Amino acid sequence: MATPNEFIITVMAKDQPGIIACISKTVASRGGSINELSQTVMRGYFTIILSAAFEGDETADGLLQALNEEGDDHGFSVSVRAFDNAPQYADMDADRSQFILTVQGADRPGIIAEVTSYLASQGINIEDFFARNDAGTFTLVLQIVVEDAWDADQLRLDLQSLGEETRLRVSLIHEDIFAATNELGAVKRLLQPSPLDI
Amino acid sequence: MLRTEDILSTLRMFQDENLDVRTVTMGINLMDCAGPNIDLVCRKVQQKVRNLAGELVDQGRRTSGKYGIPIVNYRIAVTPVAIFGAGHASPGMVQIAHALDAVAEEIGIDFVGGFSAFVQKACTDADLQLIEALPEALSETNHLCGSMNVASSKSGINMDAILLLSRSLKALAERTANRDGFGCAKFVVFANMPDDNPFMAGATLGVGEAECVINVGVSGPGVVKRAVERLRSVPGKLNLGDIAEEIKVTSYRVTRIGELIGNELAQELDVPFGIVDLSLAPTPRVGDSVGEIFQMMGIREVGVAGSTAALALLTDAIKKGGAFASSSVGGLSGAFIPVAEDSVLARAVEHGFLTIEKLEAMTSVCSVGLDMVPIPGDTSAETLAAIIADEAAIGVMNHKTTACRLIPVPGKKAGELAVFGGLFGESPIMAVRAGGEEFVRLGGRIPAPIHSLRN
Repeated sequence: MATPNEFIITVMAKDQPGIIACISKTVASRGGSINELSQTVMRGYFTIILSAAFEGDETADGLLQALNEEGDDHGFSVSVRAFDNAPQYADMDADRSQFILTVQGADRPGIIAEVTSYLASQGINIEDFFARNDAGTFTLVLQIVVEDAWDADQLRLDLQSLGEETRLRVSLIHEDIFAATNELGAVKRLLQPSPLDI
Repeated sequence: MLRTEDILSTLRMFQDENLDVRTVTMGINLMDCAGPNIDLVCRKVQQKVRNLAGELVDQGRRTSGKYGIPIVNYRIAVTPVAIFGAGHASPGMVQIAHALDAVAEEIGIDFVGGFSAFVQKACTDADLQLIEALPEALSETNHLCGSMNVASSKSGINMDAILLLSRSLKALAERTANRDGFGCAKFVVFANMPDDNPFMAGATLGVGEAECVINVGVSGPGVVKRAVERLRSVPGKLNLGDIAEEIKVTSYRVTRIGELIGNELAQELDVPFGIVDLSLAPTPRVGDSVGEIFQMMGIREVGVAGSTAALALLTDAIKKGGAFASSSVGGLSGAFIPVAEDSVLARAVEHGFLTIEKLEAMTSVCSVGLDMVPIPGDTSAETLAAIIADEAAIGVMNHKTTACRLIPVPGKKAGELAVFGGLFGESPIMAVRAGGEEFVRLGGRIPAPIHSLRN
């Protein structure tokens, strides 16, 4: 059996019914199987990222062309890349802890750049990111990984002084706090994950 | 998957609504420190507390730092002194008090509870010695707290013990007259006292508890108040059932934080995790008041008609949410109404809406009782005992915990201001009605209530 050919595909379009149907039919018709996908809609624009594996000799160019042709009516912007080795930060390392970093303040240009530049300078990876503007108050919610949870306190102090310099309200709280306050499972399972959680 | 709205609502509880883990309380069994040589007893007590709790504050700070949420107090609850200190006269009890106080200071503990005795049926010699030692022990120490169980639904009410204790409390108030009788703020008189209460001043490690255990107390009146406020600000029809539901859900969320922190801390310290106690414990800070929750429910001033019903709704909803949130809810779990520590309650006293009689009625549905209530300094020991007996009767007949933390303020009369400072707050002195002295002096024990024919 040939080694599956895996591709990462992103598609952006104005939101409308039928986009995912069009993408998935195209993938299936070429013998591909979707492994994972994530989609979001923001201000009326739809975007999706998915990974699909193909038996045989599918190519990135061939897939790109097919998706562009099939999605012409929907106005797709498509990009396709052959899947490379997993990036360093995608490893599931048991020691690392997820934290939720929130930043709030009066909206002005450059807030995201300031916060993310600081995180980049510390080698901290952003796993998930959400930002919105409510009546002039800008809110960032970032899911980040801290290698050693016991170091979080120092990072918190650094982030708070960054917040004071830039007039932003910053907080860094362990993800388990949010899980505990918003989910139903036994708290002990946050501390000692059971096989049932997988 | 976490929703952004959920993240922001949890964040708001910490940033704007004064949510915290109010106390992490380590229970320590001191039975194995008992012995005939008081110097040796004290050395063993200090050594054991140091060994088991020496790391409590450091580890607590690390856990607090890891999760990014505040832990306000670190406390210790020990085996009641009258049990492990039996055989020693009152000077020995005082020596143990100093030993506990000194070791608490040394390892950075806020309060150590356990200058206590269980006398609901009768007093042992050791219990009597502890009552005698009380004024000296609590006036000469800073971190030590005490408590006494004077009544239970199974044993009745020990009136002899209550009168003896009242005399001791009056003496304690006199010894701390320069601080408006503050010594009495460190002593609670209970009916149906729980064995695992993490809140002071009534924390002890009761008989039947583990060798060492971590209990956690979470608070958060500000969170509940804001939740009710938000609910009421949404247009549309709203009734009291909706408010109860909102409080229940909020209490679930708050309790889960205590459950998480308690489990983590117990795991790091390698001791068993005991219970979470979700009690709305106010502080004098604005936004951290139980009285404000009443106002948010439409009770203009605490003490007006409707206050008892509102408190019943609040206490029950908290218990329901808390019970589902934790693997083991214990302690007092409910709403505290400590008058001096809650600025809205203290103001209701000042404006004449809240009297000691109405407060007593409210305690029949809250989690504790007449808490942090300053009374005139010239109140007789008999009248003090009569108030304690009234409160104990509510607990005994209704099979619930009740308690008194009454502070006779030396030299001051009803209406004058008693100031305890810091988190202990201040309040006008509440008037009491004397006249039951003869009843109290009859002494003996009020028998336990019958369990059938309940109405």
